[in-house]
Order: sequence, then C-alpha cells, then structure tokens
Amino acid sequence: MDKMILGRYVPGNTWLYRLDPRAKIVISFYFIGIIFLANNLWSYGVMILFTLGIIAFSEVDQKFFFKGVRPLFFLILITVLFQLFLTRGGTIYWQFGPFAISQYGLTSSLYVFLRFMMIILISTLLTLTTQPLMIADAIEYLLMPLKKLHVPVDQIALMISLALRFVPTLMDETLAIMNAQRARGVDFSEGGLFKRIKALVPVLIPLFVNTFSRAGDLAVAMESRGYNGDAPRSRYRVLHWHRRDTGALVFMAVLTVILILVRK
Amino acid sequence: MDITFKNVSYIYDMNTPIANLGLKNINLTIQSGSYTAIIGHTGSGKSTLLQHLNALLKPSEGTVVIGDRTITNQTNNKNLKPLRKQVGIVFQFAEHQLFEETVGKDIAFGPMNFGVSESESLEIAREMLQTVGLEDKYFDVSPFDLSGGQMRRVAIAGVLALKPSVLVLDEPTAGLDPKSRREMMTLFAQLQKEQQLTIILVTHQMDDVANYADHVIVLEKGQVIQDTTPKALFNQPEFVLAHGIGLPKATEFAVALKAQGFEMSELPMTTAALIEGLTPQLENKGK
Ligand SMILES: Nc1ncnc2c1ncn2[C@@H]1O[C@H](COP(=O)(O)OP(=O)(O)OP(=O)(O)O)[C@@H](O)[C@H]1O
Ligand SMILES: [Mg+2]
Repeated sequence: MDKMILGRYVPGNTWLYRLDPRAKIVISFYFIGIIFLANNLWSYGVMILFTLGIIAFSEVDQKFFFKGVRPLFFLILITVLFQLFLTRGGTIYWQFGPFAISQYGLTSSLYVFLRFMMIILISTLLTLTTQPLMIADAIEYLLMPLKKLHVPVDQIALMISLALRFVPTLMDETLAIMNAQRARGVDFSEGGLFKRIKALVPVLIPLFVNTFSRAGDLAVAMESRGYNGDAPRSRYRVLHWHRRDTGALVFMAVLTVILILVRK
Repeated sequence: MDITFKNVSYIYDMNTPIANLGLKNINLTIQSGSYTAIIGHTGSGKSTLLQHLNALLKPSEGTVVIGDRTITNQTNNKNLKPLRKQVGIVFQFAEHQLFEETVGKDIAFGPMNFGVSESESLEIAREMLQTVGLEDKYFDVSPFDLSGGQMRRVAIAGVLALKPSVLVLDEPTAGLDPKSRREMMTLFAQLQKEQQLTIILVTHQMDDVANYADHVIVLEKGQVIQDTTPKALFNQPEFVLAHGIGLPKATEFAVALKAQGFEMSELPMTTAALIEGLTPQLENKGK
C-alpha cells in the first residue's frame, strides 16, 4: 500500500513543479481527451513518445516513479486480458471454448492497455508534482465560469480542498489503527477472502467514527472563527500565469496537429 | 524476556525521494522485569522504536532480539502472533482503536484473536475492566458513549487482556485528568511489581520517570543520547536542560535552592527526598 504513488505529492522544484497548476490540469484533461484520437500505430507512437518524453524531462526520480505505478500496471494488465480473450474479429490464432485470441482482439486490447497506461502515467505525474491545495485552487479557478449558472463553485472548491487536505491524515490514521489492531492479534494477510474482509471491520469502524468526529470539530472550528461560505473571499495563494504556461498549451496544440496528421 | 537492539536503524519510505530517518544505529538492552522510560522531543523516534518491539516495523539495518525471537529486515510476516501476544502495546491515543458494540466485547477482542474461547475472553474482559478502574455497569455499554478518558481505560484494558509479559505504553496518560493519571500510573507500577511485567513507558512527564522508572533512555533525532538510571540522568541538570528535556519538579526546586547556597550532595528526584535533604539544613539555620 505504501508503494503506491498515484495521488501522492512529492516535494520538488523542477520546471514541471513551477508550471501553473491550471495549465497542468488543462493539459492533463486535454491529453486524456486526445488520446482517443489515436487509432493506429503511428498515432499511438506519437502519444507514447510524448508521455515518456515528459516523464524523462520532468526530472522526477524515474526509478521511484515507475516502481510506484507498477501495481496499477498489473491491474490494467488483468483487465486487458479479458478484452484480449473475449474480443473476436479478423484472423483467429487460438481458440478454447468461449476464449479466443484473434487479430482484432490483439490490437484492440493493446490499444486499450496503452491508453490506460498513458492516462495513469500522466495523472500520476500531475499529482506527484502539484500540491493538492494547488489542484483545488486551480479547479476552483477553472470552474469560475459556472458561477454564472449558479453552481456553488466556492463550496465545491472548499469541499475539494478539505477532502484533499485530509487524504494524508486518513492514510496515517489507517496505518495507526491497523497497527493497533495488529498488536491485538489481527493478521491482515491471513486466511481466505472472507476472513480478510472481516479483519477490516476493526479498522473501518474506528476510521469512520474518527472521521465523523473530526468533521464535526472542523465545522465548529470554522464557524467559531466566523467562516461564511457565501462571503466574498480574498486569497492567500494567488496563481500567476507565465509565458511558459502559454508555451505549454501551444505545445499541446502542436501535438494535436501532429496527431491528426498521422492518424488514419 | 530481555529485549536487545543491535545497531538498529530504521528509514521510513526507504529508497524513495521522501525517505525519512526514523532511528539511527540504536544499541540498547531492556532487562526482563525492568521499568524503562523512553523520553525525547516530539519526532525523536520514540514511537518508531516502540513499533520495533513487536515487529510492526522491522529494522532497515541491524537486529532486534526479543526473548528467543530475532527480528531483522529478512523476518517473515508469518508467525509473529506469539510475539504479539507476549508484547502488548498501548498506542498513543489508544482510544482510537475501539470498534466493538460493547466495552466488554472490545476488551475480549484481543484474547479471542489469540485463540481464547469467547466465554473465557469475556470473563477476562470483566476482570480487566475492574483492573483499569471502571465499574461493571460499563461492560455492556457502547465504547463510543464513554468519555475520552474512559475510552482510554477501555483501550488499556484491551491490551492488558492479552496478558502480555512486556507492556509497552506510548504516552498512556496524555490528556487524562490528574486523578486518572495517578491511578493509571499506580496500576502500571503495581503490574510490574506483582506480576513481574516488563514495562516500557514513553512519556513527557519527568515526574513519572523519577517516580516509577528504574531505567531511562533519552532519544534525540533517532539516536540514543543517554541510557542510564533516572537518578544519574537528573543529576546532570545542565545536560538535561541543554537537550530541552526538563526536570522533575523536586529536582528543579533543588537546583534553584542550590543556586541560593543550599547544599545538595545529590539532587533529589522526589518531594520526599527533597524534604529529607533540606530538613537538617533548615533546622541548623533555625538555631
Ligand atoms: N509513517 C511515517 N512516514 C514517514 N516518516 C515518519 C512516519 N512516522 C514517523 N516518521 C518520522 O520519523 C521520525 C520519528 O517519529 P516518531 O513518531 O517515532 O516520533 P516520536 O518521538 O514518537 O514523537 P511524538 O513525541 O510526537 O510522539 C519523525 O521525524 C517523523 O517525521
Ligand atoms: Mg510518538
């Protein structure tokens, strides 16, 4: 569990860290969108090159990064195996009952696999190099236009930042409670599936109880300091858009053009 | 059951950019039946050290020997149960571990995990509830309806119910009222004397160190900087203050008196010892 790095922020100060979080979020979502434009080997090649290129130039610890996404790699691999064995079409290479490996199944599962992998690599890179609170700020900013439609953007933003803020706290607390129950003789890696799920009850109940009581405390603390969700707010962290952020968006536009040229 | 640390180091998130030193080259021995206090600043590694005592953490380097078990980073996660039964740990904020419907069931949870029958576990639970000073009427109450201090007592009872031979306590009295604190500390001392339990106590209360412990270990930045008796430690007030640890009340008072010209061949740790040292001098002055 502590090897997983999806959603984790690791402090650093390279160009990717300095990029405006709004630019990073827009680019990540845009990237996930244009991945679906890729439909042949060439276009997938371009996307893979882009993904690996960003990772290589991001100056994050490569070994740590790839080790961290490895558990997800296997998860995707298993999902894709279903696609491989259950899809038919084109030449059939191998068959056994309802299972078959066909030409169509092979290419489509390879594409699904690559798509998933790239999405995961890019979003891991986003969260790895962007502070959770920055992500929340950027989302708030990007949602601003919706205010015109009476969407409670401020409240949504507050909820997101609170949720993100408490992810590490919850992780620490889960570990602490698991340790306390281990010390009372619970073995989380023992027995069959049912027994393992049952072993989680003594972890989940205290976790829920503590979370609710903490949420209550937080609400009281905010209210007692005069927090009012509807009041206009000034900001402590101000986001600055730089030329490099515009540059990054331009780069994405260029990538899109290339992608459209090479796809079939 | 002696406990020995040999060249133990522990690094959190080893081999990652966020690696963080927990313990560095720890060597120490805790004798069977002793009462050891572990003190040090916030973040000095006390809780990290405690988790090595029943293999919740395994040393990144070095070995931990607990009775006849040797734990290294190669140790398998299987077969740790016998060790966990022998070493009971009451964690910081232990009340956060309660989960059962009733207090009784929660206390019985530990013994049942170690294969004791349900009826016998509940019997032990009833006994432990009394041991930690809660009335029997709480036995069938939900633990979530108790006050924080009562919950702490239930959590302690849940660990005592394992009948461990080593009892590890991570700031067990933090946040309790003075009376509860005294009761709990008396209970631990009693367990050590009457049942020969080995007690390992993490605390920020120097008076508890002075009153109960016979062995004290001072940690700083993951390293042992003193491994001695409370008496020897508190007789070096300069060292103690330089490392920001604090003195027992009586010792602090004695240091101030000494600065005013009173004679102290040895700094007292308790009020009784302080009075004993002072009375003859005051009587002489009176004459
Ligand atoms: N789960 C963890 N992951 C990473 N680092 C940790 C973790 N737990 C503790 N540390 C680090 O290890 C060091 C020792 O922490 P530890 O919890 O042992 O301190 P402590 O002496 O018990 O402090 P306190 O008096 O506040 O309880 C600290 O620098 C802390 O930041
Ligand atoms: Mg601690």
